[in-house]
Amino acid sequence: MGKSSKDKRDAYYRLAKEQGWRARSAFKLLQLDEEFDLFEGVTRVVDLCAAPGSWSQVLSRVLIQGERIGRAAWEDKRYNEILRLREAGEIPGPSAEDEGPPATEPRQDVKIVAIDLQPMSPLEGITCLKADITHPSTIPLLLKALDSEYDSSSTSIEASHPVDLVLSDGAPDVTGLHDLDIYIQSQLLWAALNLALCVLKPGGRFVAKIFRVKDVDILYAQLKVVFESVIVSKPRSSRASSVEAFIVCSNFRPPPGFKASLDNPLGSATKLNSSDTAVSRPPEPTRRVRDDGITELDLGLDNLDLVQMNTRWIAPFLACGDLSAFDADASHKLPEGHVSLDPVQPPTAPPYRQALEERKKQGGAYGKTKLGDLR
Amino acid sequence: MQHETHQLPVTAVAFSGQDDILLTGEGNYLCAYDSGDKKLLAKQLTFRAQAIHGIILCEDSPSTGVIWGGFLTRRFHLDRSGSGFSITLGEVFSTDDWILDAALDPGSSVLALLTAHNALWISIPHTDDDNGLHDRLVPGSNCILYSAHIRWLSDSSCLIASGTAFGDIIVWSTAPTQSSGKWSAQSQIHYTFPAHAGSIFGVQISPWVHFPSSKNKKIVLASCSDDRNIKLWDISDLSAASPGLAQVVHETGFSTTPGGSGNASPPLLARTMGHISRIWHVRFGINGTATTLNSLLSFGEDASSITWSLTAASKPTTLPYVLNEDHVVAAHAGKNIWAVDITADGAVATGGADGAMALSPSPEPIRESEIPRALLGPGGDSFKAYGFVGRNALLATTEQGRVALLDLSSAESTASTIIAEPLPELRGYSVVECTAGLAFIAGTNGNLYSYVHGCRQLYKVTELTGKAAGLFAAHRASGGFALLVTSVVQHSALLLLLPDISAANEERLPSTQLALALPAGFTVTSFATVTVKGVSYSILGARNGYIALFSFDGNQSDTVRLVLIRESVHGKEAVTALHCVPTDFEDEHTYTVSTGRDGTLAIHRLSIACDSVELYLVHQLTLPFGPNIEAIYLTPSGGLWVWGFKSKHFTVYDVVAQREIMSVDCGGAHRNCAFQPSEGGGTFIWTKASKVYRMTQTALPYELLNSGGHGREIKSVAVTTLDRGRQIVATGAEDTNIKLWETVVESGFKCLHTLRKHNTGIQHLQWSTDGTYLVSSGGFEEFYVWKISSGLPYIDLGVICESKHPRSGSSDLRIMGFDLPESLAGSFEISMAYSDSTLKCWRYMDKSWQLLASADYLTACLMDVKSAHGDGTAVLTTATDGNIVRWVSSDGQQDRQLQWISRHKIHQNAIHAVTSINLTDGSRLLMTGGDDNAIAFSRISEEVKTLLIPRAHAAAVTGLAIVPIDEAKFWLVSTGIDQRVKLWEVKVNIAKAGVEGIEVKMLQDVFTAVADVSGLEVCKLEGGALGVLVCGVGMYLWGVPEERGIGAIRGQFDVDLYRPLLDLEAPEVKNNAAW
Repeated sequence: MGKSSKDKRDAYYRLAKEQGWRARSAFKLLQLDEEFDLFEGVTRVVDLCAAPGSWSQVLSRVLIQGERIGRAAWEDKRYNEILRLREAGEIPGPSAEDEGPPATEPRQDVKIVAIDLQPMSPLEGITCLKADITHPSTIPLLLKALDSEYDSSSTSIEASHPVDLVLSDGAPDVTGLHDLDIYIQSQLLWAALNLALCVLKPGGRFVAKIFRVKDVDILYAQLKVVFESVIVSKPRSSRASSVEAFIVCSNFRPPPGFKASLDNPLGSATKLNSSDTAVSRPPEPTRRVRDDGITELDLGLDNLDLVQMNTRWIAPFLACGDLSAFDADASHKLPEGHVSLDPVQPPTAPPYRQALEERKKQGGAYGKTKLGDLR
Repeated sequence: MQHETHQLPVTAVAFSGQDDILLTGEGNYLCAYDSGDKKLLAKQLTFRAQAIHGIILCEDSPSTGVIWGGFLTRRFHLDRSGSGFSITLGEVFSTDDWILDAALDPGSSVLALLTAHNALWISIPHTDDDNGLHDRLVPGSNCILYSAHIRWLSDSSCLIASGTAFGDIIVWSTAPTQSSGKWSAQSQIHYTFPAHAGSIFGVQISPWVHFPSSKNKKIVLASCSDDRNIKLWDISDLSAASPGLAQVVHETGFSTTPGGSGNASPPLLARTMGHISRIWHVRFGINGTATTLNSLLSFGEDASSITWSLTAASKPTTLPYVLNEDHVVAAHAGKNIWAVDITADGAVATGGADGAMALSPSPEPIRESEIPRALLGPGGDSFKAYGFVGRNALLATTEQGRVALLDLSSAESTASTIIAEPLPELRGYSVVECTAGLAFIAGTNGNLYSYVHGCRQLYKVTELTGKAAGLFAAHRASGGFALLVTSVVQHSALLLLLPDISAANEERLPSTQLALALPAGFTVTSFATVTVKGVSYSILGARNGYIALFSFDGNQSDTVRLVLIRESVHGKEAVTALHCVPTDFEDEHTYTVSTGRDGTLAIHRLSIACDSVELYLVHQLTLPFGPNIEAIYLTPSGGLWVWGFKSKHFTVYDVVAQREIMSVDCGGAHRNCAFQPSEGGGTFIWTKASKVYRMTQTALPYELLNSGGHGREIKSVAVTTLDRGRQIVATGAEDTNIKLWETVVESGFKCLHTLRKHNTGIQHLQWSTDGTYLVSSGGFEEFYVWKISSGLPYIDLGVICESKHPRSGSSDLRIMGFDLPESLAGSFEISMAYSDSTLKCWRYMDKSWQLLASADYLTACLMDVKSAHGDGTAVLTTATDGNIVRWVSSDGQQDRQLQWISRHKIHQNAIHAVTSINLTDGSRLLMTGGDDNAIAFSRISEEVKTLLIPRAHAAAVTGLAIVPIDEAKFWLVSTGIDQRVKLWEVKVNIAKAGVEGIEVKMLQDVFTAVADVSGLEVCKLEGGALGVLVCGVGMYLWGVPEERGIGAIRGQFDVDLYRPLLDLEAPEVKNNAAW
């Protein structure tokens, strides 16, 4: 697929290039923020699996440079325009996408640490660490980056000044063996959560990528033990055809006596036990008429789920990014005079880079991926 | 809901070592096949909601073994009693992590399990005198592994290789011991080293083996990786040892210097690059009793397995050994070989993501050999033209004009007999046409010879008026032969009718000679004859894709009439082979089968009534190789073989079995060649760089126990019922193919045809009401109308692409959905939903398309469109913005106007599934499944009222289907990405307003092993019961219970729902088995 047809196929790919984001995933965080006010009162943030750095870019622009990036950045003005003109009985025409420069309001004492295995181009005001989030040695590195006075010889692995928000947009290279991919993604989520448990302040938030697939309800149930609210959210900029979604966990409330540790991490082997107990009673369906006139049928499984808090629980789902946001699945008409731009960052070197080069030497084509410079 | 049959990725395989039984893990079913007759012996549900990822069998007792998948493991026993075969299962044990490998100790009692965090579990069944054990003996580390292999080196210790996500390999050993009733394990690390630049997907430890040109035995480690490399390491030296596993991970992430040069790195013996994508597995090819390691096998994402030969390196500066690609087996469609097993004598079994199970015999590759020119006699003569006159009998003419018979019966050498010393008219030019027992030869001067194999003699048949350009022979139904002789100069051909001269018959002269006047530009490339109602017909195929039909009456033998000419039979490409189905005397029609260089096989119905002769195309599909398809052959066992070329390969393919029979790297099309088919392959002779080669295949390179399906996930499914109640399932997949299936519960899904025409993944499929048309859509506005007919010879079901929408391929828009309402045969009004939010209505009739109306929704991608009835709306659409939208159409003077009148926000975002039922009051109940996990029931009359179940599934709802019960009640079956299939009872009291009278209750909730579910359809099972077909990565057919049976099962469901832990309980637990 050529650059231009990719622009049409994916509005966010085009917008990301036009607005200087390193990856289209920046919009996912922006749309999550719009729905959940993720950055409200937030100054200390850890961004896990950060490369190529589009989420850190959002953090840099919003928290450090104090930009207000509103929905204007991703609004598909034609959607509302057509609706408005329909009401007025007119024919919709093309509309401009330009907005004035965003207002800025920098915050004080902002501290952002980004971690990834892959090297990441530096970003203003952000401390980048090249480290493995599953490894215990990463914790002192992170604590040191968060607080320069942190004494790495101390045995404490808890942050003296915990953070408000931990983000993770990490995903594995999928193999195609669905079970295994689901497992690996869950391990990445556990790794991010374990790190978050070490640095997050009570009441803090954790936002991470999750695959909405088989057994995702087991993950939800586990997350619900340490956070008061767990909502799974899909931004409009994430394709409907993708299983990707984001878990937004709010109000971190570590169970009494809980001590986070990467030497004995939570995950498959260690599980949290819920303090919730409820009397088992058969589910009673209830009906409720919502404000929009739709009757909701609650099968009453939530009560039951309290009993099974350790096993399965379906988190409420919330689509975010207003419906007037560009649709990631739709084919879009390009604005007039559209010039297709190069991506802000080319893909980094895959492990088979050497294989590509050897194959090239032998004269064979091995895919057309253009690689970034080896660093 | 009861499992009927399935076709799922094969994620585990194992040879049982006795009775030729092959075990496979297909989803959560353990299946046993007889590898001899390829029959399924038994299938057994194992884990409740977890696919099997590994099977091993006890070495000393091959009827018992262990399966594992995810966190779970279970022992099993195979019972063969008389003609019966069954699988019994032991208790389910859970570890706390993903199991990567398992191995039984030599006594088959202690099971060692290694998990993805490098923890070792030991599992021992409890017996009367032992309480058994199931515990983690060696704790793991934080680093995640992608692969591991456990090899017991003695009764009490095992050697383990662990491949990490970051390219490192840890080689360690452990010795589980029991003292005073307590188990413990001491472990030691021998090597921790950066082995690859990418994740390690496969590791394998050899037993002590000899190496080529080496006296000492070694233990070798083979590894394969994301970096496309296969490496062999010498890990014989296990003296270096450090205790503990916790400290092993040298640093985080990928180390900076991969390649095995570190201190702790074992010596690298050999390295090679293979496969075009990731490599999932490596195995050692150690042959039989010989204990020398001389080959290695690798299996990849590219769905191929490669055998590598291992030899000592000639150059001392490089690595000590060299791996050379020996041969490749590509038995699977699409991507990914997930599971492999290999026997001591070298047989290889592979399980693919396509659901196929391939079994390759001991890799004894067939080699090509040159047929020496010296066999043609003295004087440096060379081959001119050749063909088979019998099995292993090749008749050849030479440059100097000799005629030689080559005997290929010996695999090692070729013998020759000179039939004729140089004939002047054959010098430098000769044409040869061979059939069984007979050949015709012509040269420059018009002499036509026949060679009769029975007496090894050359006879002169007749004298032609000039040089022959081509000879085409065909058997006649009345006996004898028809020989068509084409000339280089004239626009005519000569048809000779000959008696059966292959018999020891004195009469060898043609009984009749007829001149056929060829149409202009008609260069004959193929020829066949048939007799219908006493009239003989000759069918000629031409280089420009034409077919011509000539008739001649047997009684008035001198009148030949051109009765029909048809262009574009194979596009503008040559019609390379023609075959006519022989007729009985009463038949008024027959069929012709043809192949062409357009890469297709075509079947026409030849209809003869009252002097009118018609040729109707009833089947034409692109074959999976080509485009140069050269010949047709009907096998004695009912197969239909075609052969031709695919890039550099000569390929033989069975159209009925839908599989490749043989493939030879001959350099490509456009060369002299001959093929003699025989069971399991045949003999191929070809000319390459003026040398002639032969290759004989006597057995298929692989057998398919389960022929498999799509190479990628299914995106759309549609079921139809043909005449006489025959049910056909159509599936369209991301691999761009459409497949037509018959469901046979006994033997699973039988693929009838694969329709290869789309260039993009299939978005939607729908049958016309009467099942005569199948319509498909994809990306790039691809939209095809397929016509289906049944009762054809050889292939039964005929498929042609009757029309392609004129805008196909014209833009990058996807046609997400469409609807084909009931209509008159062959004429449809089709509504199409596009990815750019437009809705268009087209009329299709007689291969022509007319745009009736077009309108925009907003900017959201439309997901589907359904024709509406009754309430005044024309159609309903669904979109990614969660709305259902009602559209009306109004007929204007010239064109029709399409306009949406109301939108109803039902779901939060994309609507993936939609189905509906008409209620008796004229309203319509529309059921939708959303990406938001919800199922909605929207009652549509003047207004739209909705009842929503927000958390109906744990992930996107992608399939809905209705099982009608009675007027007041139906069942809704839903499925989604959470791999659950749920059965809902929906009661409708139409007297109540809106959705107040709609009651919904969940009856059942079951796991399906189909991942990435894209849809489901209700179908009929044998015996008339209803089934539900779930499609995605594979297919799974459930039997829907009778309504009266639901109560009992509901109880079972309650147990399921209240079950407190993950998957520890199996559906059927048989405890205390002491194996």
